[in-house]
Amino acid sequence: MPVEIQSSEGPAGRTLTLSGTLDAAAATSLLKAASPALRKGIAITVDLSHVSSVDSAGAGALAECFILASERSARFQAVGAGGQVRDVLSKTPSPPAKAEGGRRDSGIGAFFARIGGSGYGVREGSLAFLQLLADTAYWGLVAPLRRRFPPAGATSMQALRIGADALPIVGLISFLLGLIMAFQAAYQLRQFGANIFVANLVGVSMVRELGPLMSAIVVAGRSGSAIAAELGTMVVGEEIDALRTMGINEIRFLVVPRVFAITFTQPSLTLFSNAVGIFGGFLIAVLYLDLSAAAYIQQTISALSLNDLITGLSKSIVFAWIIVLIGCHCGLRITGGAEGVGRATTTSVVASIFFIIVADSVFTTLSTLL
Amino acid sequence: MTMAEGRDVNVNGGVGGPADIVVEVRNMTAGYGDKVILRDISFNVRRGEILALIGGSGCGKSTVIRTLVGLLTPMSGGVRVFGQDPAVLEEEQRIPFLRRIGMLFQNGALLGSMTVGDNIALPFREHTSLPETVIRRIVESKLAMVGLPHTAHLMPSELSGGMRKRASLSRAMALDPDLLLCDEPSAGLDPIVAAGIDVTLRDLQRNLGTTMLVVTHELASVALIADRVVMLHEGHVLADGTVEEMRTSADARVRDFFARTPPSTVDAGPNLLSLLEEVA
Repeated sequence: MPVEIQSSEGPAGRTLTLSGTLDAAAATSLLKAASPALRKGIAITVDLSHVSSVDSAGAGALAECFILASERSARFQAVGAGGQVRDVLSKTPSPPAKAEGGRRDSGIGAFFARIGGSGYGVREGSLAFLQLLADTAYWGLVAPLRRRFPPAGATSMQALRIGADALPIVGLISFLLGLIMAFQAAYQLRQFGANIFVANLVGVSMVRELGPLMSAIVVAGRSGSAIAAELGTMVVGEEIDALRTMGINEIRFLVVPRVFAITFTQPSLTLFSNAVGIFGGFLIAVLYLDLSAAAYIQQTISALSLNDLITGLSKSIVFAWIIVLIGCHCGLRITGGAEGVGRATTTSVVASIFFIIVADSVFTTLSTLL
Repeated sequence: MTMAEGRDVNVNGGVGGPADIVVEVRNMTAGYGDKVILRDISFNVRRGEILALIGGSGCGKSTVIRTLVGLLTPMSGGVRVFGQDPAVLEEEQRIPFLRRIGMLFQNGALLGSMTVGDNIALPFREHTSLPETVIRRIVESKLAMVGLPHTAHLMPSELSGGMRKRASLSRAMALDPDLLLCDEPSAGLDPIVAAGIDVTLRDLQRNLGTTMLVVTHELASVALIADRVVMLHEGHVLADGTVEEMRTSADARVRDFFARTPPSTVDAGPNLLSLLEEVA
């Protein structure tokens, strides 16, 4: 039975007579009816004698009204509670005199405290990252000399997952990129009758810039996130702790195979991306720009130098390390449960793409200036 | 030999000199960050006994175990396991030290990316140079020991909670450790499966003489397996003795724990009705 609220004014203030069931739906109507008056400091008496039953939402609404009233030093009273209503209300603890609800910091002090806090967070994160870098260097470079190798087969398995499985998507993206570049270049170069320079533009930009960058971005999205999520889940499931108690160093067991794998797969993916991208440009040049195949190939070869290739491949190795180390860092430092895994995954992708671009701009600036 | 006799033998045989103390926790204070969980606790685990570490939720039972394997460094005081301090072990000493300890995690903590068999083979592959055929045979027998024959090819996600815990027990026991640490071995399992794990632990202790520290709050487990009980309460050691001594303890909190006395409902002060009916 829905609640009915009748309001009447008397010498002692307003009286609300409720009848029916004071449940969650009724609680809303009660609050709506009572709160404007209470805010104005008008005293209210509720008559509960016709209320058949009340639940915790109803009791909550009464408590809320009482608090509203006491904040305005008004009076909020209940009369006529009987039966079940009496039982429930007498078992409901009284609301705290002042709404506590977690001290919320505000003001200028809190603002600086937040800045300081995030500063400390950055410092702590950077120190942990350096620690990871040092541990990885030790377990990847020094420990093998002491015959402490990463687990057998782990590196090749990671190479398959990080490298080989990424071939189709890297190929497709690079092919389309080659097409786009050839079209765009032709659109401009045609005006000067310099169509053949499409080969230079596609070749050099693929090899020096877009091949390494695009494959790194694809791998950051595919594998960087996967690494963060996998390691994060292992932290949450105490699997990392289990490894440690078995005397197995998690850096050697989990991080080093991934670093080794990506160090080989990323340049390979980049080479593949270069080739497919140039092939995409070649198709457009031959089919759409009416250039001869031999001339295009000849032009590409003469445009590219070994230096371009080395620059591109060394970039790709740096990008690879950025991806894998940020992925591992985010995964291993996870806090919280499933939500933390999600956060670590997002952070790893955003951070690795950001640092890839930063590294790329440093590379490009240096190689142009020097 | 009945179970009760087994317990008596161990209690009588377990008391001895310092050489018989496997785990020594002395005046240890530990916690995470600024939060102190354990305050100045001390107790020993003697060779060959099953010590149950009990206490309410969140009283620091798991924290004790984490300090014993060096996952957590105590803030002050210390622990010695086999006479060594796990917090200061060098890398070369750490592996032989950890080989003597098996640990059963609360949720099993099997590596999800490997089959059950590979999980149990992991300590052998990492720490021994046994040929693969031998390792596989050992794995099969270790799995049979915990009642999970022919499951080596399954992934951990294909196992039920109880099976996962038993597989994890079998991994913890892989290298026949001298000390087995169990974090809530029977929590969240049905009574039959839980009792099965208890009996397995009991049998392992009797057959192999493994010293065990079992963190639990299952009274039934404690009664079945524990030679001795240490009860933690709000970061302190509240009591240390046999199950019988606990039941008849002078401390009401200990007796209440064993009698499963519900907390007395505290008077919550004024209720809503009295406030609302208060005449201004």
